[in-house]
Amino acid sequence: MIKKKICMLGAFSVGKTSLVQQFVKSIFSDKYLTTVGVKIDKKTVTAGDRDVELLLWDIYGEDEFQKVKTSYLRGAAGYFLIIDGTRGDTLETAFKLRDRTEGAIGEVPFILVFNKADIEDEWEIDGKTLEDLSGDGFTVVRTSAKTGMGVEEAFLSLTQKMLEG
Amino acid sequence: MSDLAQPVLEFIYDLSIKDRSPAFLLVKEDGEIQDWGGKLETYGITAPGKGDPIEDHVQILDGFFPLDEERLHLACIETETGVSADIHIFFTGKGCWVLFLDATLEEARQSVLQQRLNELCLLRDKHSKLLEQYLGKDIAEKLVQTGVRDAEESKYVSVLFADIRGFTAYSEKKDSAEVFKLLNAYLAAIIQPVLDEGGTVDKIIGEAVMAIFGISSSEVTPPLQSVKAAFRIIGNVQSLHKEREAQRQDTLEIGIGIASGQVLLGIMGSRNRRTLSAIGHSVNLASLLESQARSNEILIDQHTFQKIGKHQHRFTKARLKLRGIEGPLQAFSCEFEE
Ligand SMILES: Nc1nc2c(ncn2[C@@H]2O[C@H](COP(=O)(O)OP(=O)(O)OP(=O)(O)O)[C@@H](O)[C@H]2O)c(=O)[nH]1
Ligand SMILES: [Mg+2]
Repeated sequence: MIKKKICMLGAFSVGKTSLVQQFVKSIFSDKYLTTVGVKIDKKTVTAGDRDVELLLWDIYGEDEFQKVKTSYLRGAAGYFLIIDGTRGDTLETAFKLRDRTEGAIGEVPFILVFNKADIEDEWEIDGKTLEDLSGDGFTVVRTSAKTGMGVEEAFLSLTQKMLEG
Repeated sequence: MSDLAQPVLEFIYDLSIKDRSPAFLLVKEDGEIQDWGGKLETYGITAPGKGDPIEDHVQILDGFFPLDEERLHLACIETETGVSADIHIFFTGKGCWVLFLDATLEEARQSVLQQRLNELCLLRDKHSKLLEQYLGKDIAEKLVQTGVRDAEESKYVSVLFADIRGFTAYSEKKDSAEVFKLLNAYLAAIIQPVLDEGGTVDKIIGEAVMAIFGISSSEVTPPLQSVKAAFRIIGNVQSLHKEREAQRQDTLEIGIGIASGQVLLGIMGSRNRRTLSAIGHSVNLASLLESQARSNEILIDQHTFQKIGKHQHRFTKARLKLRGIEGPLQAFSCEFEE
């Protein structure tokens, strides 16, 4: 079976762990428990007629005190840049991480994930920003790890991109 | 290294890694296993064979070999068995060593710190959002209209510090949702009167609010504005207490310090996030007075006292000995009943 490593990247508390948990186990918790280091989960998906085993690397969030080290990114076939729609500065962090990732492993497929879509009325990031990003050629999705909205689609869409190479 | 005697090396080994289930794999550049040792089973590595590719036994290292780096460290990485490990990879003449160390303890320690830091950061961000809501987007424009430009300018103002007592201790005991609710309630009780009296909330420093009166022009003098705001803040906090006590919720006390005089005002920061800054003796003095104020007490300096007209009778003289200021300081105090 084909195996693909995917990294969950983003600022702290944007919902990296929650997205993986929702995708793999269909569970969600409101309680915030920060991730130290890396937690790895697996899930097999079917893309087209092929089964692909996804190795999901849920990496600790980037914050003022801790930068994400690029050694974790080795061997990744694709990655998500997770943004918390309610915190505008997490978009900046996402782009910093994109630059660092490209510097380390080159250009591999990635998707911009705007999470916490269930509380969109509290968002700092507006629809126009998302449209502009799509316009610039980025793949942009909205998700809610809480309701599950868009989560499966996000993972499938990245898998597709990785297979296309 | 060589000048360390064997017993010392052994002691260091015992001290630092004996309890961390050390284990290793020796591999070729392309990841082909050559040799192994230690408690590999801790990390779910069973029956490695010479010549096996490393990823057959350590799935998390899939795609890592051949390695470009001289050495590599993966901290607190969860292994197949669920044990958190520190993985160090380094080269010697013999080949490439992959060292495993149990990181369970380290992870637990790190987790407590990281959780608190991240929660604090989230709280701080919510703070500043709240502040922006109260200030309104037009405040920056207002500031420009009233003549404070990017350049600094000197202005006569009153500076007010209001401090929520015991907040830090409280926030350590309670979960963050509760802390934030309480903080919101108190900040609203403080900020609203400041804005109503024509003041500007300069910043929230930890659990203290700093407000400046006299930036926007007004008929009322800055000292009078600030003292009126202070009375209303105490009033608000007292009604908040009654409400919260009735609901058996925790309450906190508040202390206020005010000083008036010339300060240097300027706008700092980028286009998107401009913040006001005030520098001067009165800023420091107001902060000092606030730190001396008891719960439900307003302490004001002489300059402020002289300009508050009919409100003077509510204050009594207080002589303070303050650190950093020579001689006793003449201040005026107004205390409220609990
Ligand atoms: N409303 C809502 N809350 C969410 C969503 N996703 C995550 N959260 C909450 O946001 C907080 C952080 O979620 P995590 O998944 O732990 O975030 P993380 O990115 O893994 O955080 P770190 O491991 O610290 O970097 C938790 O309290 C979650 O319950 C979402 O889609 N909607
Ligand atoms: Mg996490």
